[in-house]
Amino acid sequence: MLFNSLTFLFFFTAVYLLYMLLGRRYKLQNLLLLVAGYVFYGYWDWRFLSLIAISTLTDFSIGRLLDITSDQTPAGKQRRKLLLVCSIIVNLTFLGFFKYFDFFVTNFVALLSLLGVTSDPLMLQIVLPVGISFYTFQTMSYTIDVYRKRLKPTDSLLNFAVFVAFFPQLVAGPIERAANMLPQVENRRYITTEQLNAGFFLVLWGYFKKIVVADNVGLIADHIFNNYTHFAGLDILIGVLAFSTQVYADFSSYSDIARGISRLMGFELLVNFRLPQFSLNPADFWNRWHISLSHWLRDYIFFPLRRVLLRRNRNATVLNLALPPMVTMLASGLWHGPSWTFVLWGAFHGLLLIIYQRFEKHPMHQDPWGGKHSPVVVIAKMVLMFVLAHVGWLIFRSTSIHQIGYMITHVSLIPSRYSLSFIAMLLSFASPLVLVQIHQYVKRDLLAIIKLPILLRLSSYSLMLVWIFVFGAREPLEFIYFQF
Amino acid sequence: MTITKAQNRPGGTGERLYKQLPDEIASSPSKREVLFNVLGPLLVVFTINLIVLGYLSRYPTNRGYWLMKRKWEILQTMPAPADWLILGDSSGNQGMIPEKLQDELGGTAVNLCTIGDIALFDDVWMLEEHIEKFGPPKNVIIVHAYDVWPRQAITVLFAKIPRPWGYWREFTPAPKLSTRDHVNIFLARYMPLYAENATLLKVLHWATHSPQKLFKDRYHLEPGGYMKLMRANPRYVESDTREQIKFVENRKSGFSLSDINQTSLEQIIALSEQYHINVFIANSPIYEGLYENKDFQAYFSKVQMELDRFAEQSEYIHYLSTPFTFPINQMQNTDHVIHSAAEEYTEMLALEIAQTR
Repeated sequence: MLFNSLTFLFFFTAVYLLYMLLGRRYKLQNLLLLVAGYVFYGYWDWRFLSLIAISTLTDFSIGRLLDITSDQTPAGKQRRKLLLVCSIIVNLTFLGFFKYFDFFVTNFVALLSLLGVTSDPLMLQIVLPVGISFYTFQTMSYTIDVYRKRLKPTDSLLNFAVFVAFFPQLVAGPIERAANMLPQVENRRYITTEQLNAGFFLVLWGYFKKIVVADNVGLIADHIFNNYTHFAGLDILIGVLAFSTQVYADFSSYSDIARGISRLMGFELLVNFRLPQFSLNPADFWNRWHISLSHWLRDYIFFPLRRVLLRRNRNATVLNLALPPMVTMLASGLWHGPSWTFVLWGAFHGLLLIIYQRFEKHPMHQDPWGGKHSPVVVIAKMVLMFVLAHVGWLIFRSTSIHQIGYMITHVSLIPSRYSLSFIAMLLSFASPLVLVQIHQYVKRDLLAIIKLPILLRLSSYSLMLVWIFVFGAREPLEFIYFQF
Repeated sequence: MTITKAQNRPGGTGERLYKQLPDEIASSPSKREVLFNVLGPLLVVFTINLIVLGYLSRYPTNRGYWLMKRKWEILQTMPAPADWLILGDSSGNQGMIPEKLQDELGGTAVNLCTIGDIALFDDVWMLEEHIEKFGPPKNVIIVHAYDVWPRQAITVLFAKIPRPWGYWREFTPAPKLSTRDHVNIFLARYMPLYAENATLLKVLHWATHSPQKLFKDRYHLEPGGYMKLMRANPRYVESDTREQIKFVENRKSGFSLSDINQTSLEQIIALSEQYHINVFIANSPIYEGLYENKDFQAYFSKVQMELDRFAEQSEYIHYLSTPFTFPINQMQNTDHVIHSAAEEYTEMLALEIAQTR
C-alpha cells in the first residue's frame, strides 16, 4: 500500500477515525495500530507477515530472557551473550536469505569460475519482502540495547509488536529506536495543536516532494541513466543532479509523511533528514542524510568496532583510523542492496570519512556562520561536499562498474540538443524544493514554513496542493527506498 | 525530536555537538490557527477548482468531452421525437448530415454521434433516453468506424454525460464499475484541477502567450447536430494509415466484438424487437488508400461477417455492409471526412437505406 495511492487514503482515513474515536483508551488504540500495521504490510504480500511475526516474537522473548538472566555470574554472562547471538542470527538469517542469497551465490560461482571450477548456480529468484532491512534493524537494536542494559525490556507483547509494525514507518523508516518509540506506545498519547500543525505540514510537504518533485525529476534521471551512452557530458551532469534531487525528495518525503501522520496520532518519530545539501564535510553529511540509519550504524558497528580496536592499541594507528569508518560505510552500502555499485558507494563514502578524519584540523561543528570562519571558506567546503556527494550518487544510481567509469570520464559542460529542455524541467520541478530548503537553512528550522506570515503561508500551502493536483504523476510510483 | 525556541538558543538545554544542524523548532499555535492552516488551503484549492470547472464548461478545450456533453444536451432539449436518430462515433458526427438525410428519405433527423472511446454505451443509452422521453424513434442509424467494434469503453468518459450522478445504473446495459472507476469518474466530473491537468497547462500557456485564445468558442455544431469540417489533412491521413495498418496486423489472428459492444448490440436488438424500430448499422467512411490494403480488407471482412451475424437475429436490424471509400483530399484521417465528402457519404447511405427498406 503506497502512501501516494487512493487505497492508502481510504485506509488511513478509516484507521484515523477509529483511532480518534477510541480517545483515551490507548491500549485499544495500540491494538488498532497493530491490526492496521499488519493489514498495511499484508496488502503487499500477506505471506511475509510471518517474517514480521517471527522477528517480533523472537526479539520480544529474547528481551524478556535477557532481563531475567543475571550477568553477575560467568554462566549468566555467557547465557546473555548466547541470547544476543541467537537474536542476531535469526534477524540476519532472514535478511541474508531474502536479500543477499542470490547475490552471494552468483559471486561465489563467479569466484569459482576464476579458479577454473565451473558449477551451476542455485538461483532462487527470491522475492524481497518490502521494508525487511528497516524492521530487521529496528528489532535488532532493541535486543542489543536490552543486552547492553541501556533499555528496560517491555513486558507487553502487544506494545512491542506495535513498535515493530507501526505502519507509518514500517517499510521505509525512519528506523526507530525502542528508547524513543516504546515509551510512546506504552503511555497515553496527547495530540497537541503543535503536533497537528506540524503533522499537517509534514504530510503536505512530503506529498509535494514525492508527487511533484521526485516523480517528475526522476523521469530525467531515468532517461539519462538508462541511455547514458546517448547523451553529452552536460546531460550526464544534469542526470546526476536530477537523480540526487529525486533520491532526496523521494526518500525524505516518505520520512516526512511517516512523521507527519504519526504526529497526527500523537507520536514523535526521529528526524531522518536535516538538509544534507548544506553539508560541510563527510561527517556532517551523515548527520544530515538518512540519520536513523547512519546513527544505527554508528552505534552498533562504528563505535563497538573502534572500542575493540582501541582496546588492542590505544594509538592512532592506520587500522584504528581507517577500519571503523570503512566497515561502517561498506555495511551501509550493502544495506542498500546486493550490488557491487552499492558496495562501491559505501567504500567511496568510507574513504571520504577516512580522508576527512586524517586532514580536517578545524571541524566546523559549532557555527560555521558565527564569524570564526570566512564565508568563502564555508561556501567552498559546502560546494566541495556537494560535488563529492554527487560523485557518490552517480555510483549509487549506476547499474554497473562500466557505467560508473563511462559516466565519470564523460562528464563535461558540452551540451546536446536535449540539454536545455532537461535543465528547464529540472529547474521548474526542483526550484520550490531549493527555495524552501534555503529558507529552512537560514532559519535553522525545518518547520520554518509553518511560521511564515499568514498570507505567505496560505499561498505556499495552497500552491503545494495545486501543484500536487496539476503536476502529480497519475499512477502512484513506488518510493525508491522500498527496494532496500 | 522537537526542541523549543528556548532550547535552541545558545546556552539553552538543547545544546548539541553539531550546532549548525537545523531542527524542528516547536511553536504553539492556537486551535484556530491549526484550523486555518488545514482548511485555508483546501478552500483556496476548492475555489480554484470551481473557477476551472466554470471556465472549462463555458470554454471547453477537449473536443471529445464537449461533443458528448453537447449531443446529450441536444437529446434532452429536443422539442419533438426524431424520425431518424443518428447514433455512433465521431466518424458519424462529421459524416452524417441530417438535413441531407431528411431530403433523401423524408421525416426529421438528428445527429447524436459522439466519440468511439465510449464504445456503444452512448448509442444504446441515447436510444433508451429517447424512448423514455418521446417513445421509440421510427428509425435508428448507427455509424461506427471499423476499429470501434473490438474496443472497451473508457469508463471515465461517463463523467461527461450531463445526467445526475449514478445515472449509468438506470440504463441497460449498466456497466460494472469498480470503486476505482467511481473515483476516476468523480475526479473527471468535479475535479478538473486533477483530471484535466494537461488542458490546464495548455490554458496557462495561452494565458501567457496568446490571451485572445482564452475566451473563444472553439467548437461549433450545425442545428441538426452535424459537425461541419472543411479542411482535409492529407499528411495526417498518411500517418494514420500506417497506424491503422499496424492495428489490423495485430488482429490477423481474428476479430471479436468487445463484450460491452456485444451486450449493447443485444440490447439494441431487444429494443428494436420490442418497439419495432428499424436499426441500420453502417460502416464509417474509409480512406481509399487504407481500404486497398490486403490486411485491412481481411480485417474488414471479419467485421462485416460479425455484424451480418447480428443483423440476421432480427428483421428490424439491417447491416449496410458496403464500404464507402474516399480520396485523401477529402479526409482528415482514415475514417473522418470533410464536408464535401460528408454530403456524398450521407447521400450514398440514404440510397442504400432506401434500397434496404
